[in-house]
Amino acid sequence: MLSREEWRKVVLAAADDLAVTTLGYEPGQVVSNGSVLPEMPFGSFVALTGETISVQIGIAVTRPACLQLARAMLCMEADEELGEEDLTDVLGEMVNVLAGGAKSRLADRVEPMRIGLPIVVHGFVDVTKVAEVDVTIVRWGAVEAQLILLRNEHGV
Amino acid sequence: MSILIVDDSKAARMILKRALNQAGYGSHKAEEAGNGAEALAKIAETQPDLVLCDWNMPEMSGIELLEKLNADGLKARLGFVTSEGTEDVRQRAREAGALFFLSKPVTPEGLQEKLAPLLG
Repeated sequence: MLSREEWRKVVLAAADDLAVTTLGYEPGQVVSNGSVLPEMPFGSFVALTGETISVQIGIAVTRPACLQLARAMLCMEADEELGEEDLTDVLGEMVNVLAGGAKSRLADRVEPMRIGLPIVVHGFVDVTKVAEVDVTIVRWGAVEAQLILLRNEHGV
Repeated sequence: MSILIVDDSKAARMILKRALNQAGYGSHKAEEAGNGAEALAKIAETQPDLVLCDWNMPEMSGIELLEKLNADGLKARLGFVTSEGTEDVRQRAREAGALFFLSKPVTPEGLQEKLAPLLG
């Protein structure tokens, strides 16, 4: 069974990979870590599930941060606008890549896992049945994002 | 030559198109489909030279698309470009006849390595 720190390390490694190869940033700087879920103006989660593992990997950002990440990801100009649907689509793809990166990195260490489809969140998430919440704020360039891990009872 | 990009994420399709350009395949005609079912119709209609396909998609996944193409006797050269990357998934793709398997995040170098033997 992986610890909270091991899960976080794996997701941060996947996030660094994404930041460098797709967003054109340097690897992220960890600003802080905690266990309180933020309000999510723009959030997206993807489930990683196995026989005993149930983890949601998520990312939450403000709208301006989401816009910056989307522009970086799509190589757009700094003043180009994007609609809400495009922003949530970008966030969903980002979290999908994070989940894939985490799954690949853990392939030899945990049971086989399936990747779900991204879901989009605007606002707060109720985590009453989640045993463990891990929130890491990372900074990519001038952008801050919150990387979130939700592990439920049998996944802890 | 024509390439069909199949991914439910518009952003992912844009990224893959950009990577194709950067890898030197910008002169190829690139079409898009948002899921396996839409791709199936486009493949039957336009018979693209290569299909670049995501694995996890709603309605019809990438592997379901490839298995359906095989079952229907539709010949398509298909490679997966996906966030998946574990050996069990790669094995299933190989067994279904996928030409290659490329894990996201996609780089032009990674794409070129897979496509050069197929497209030159």
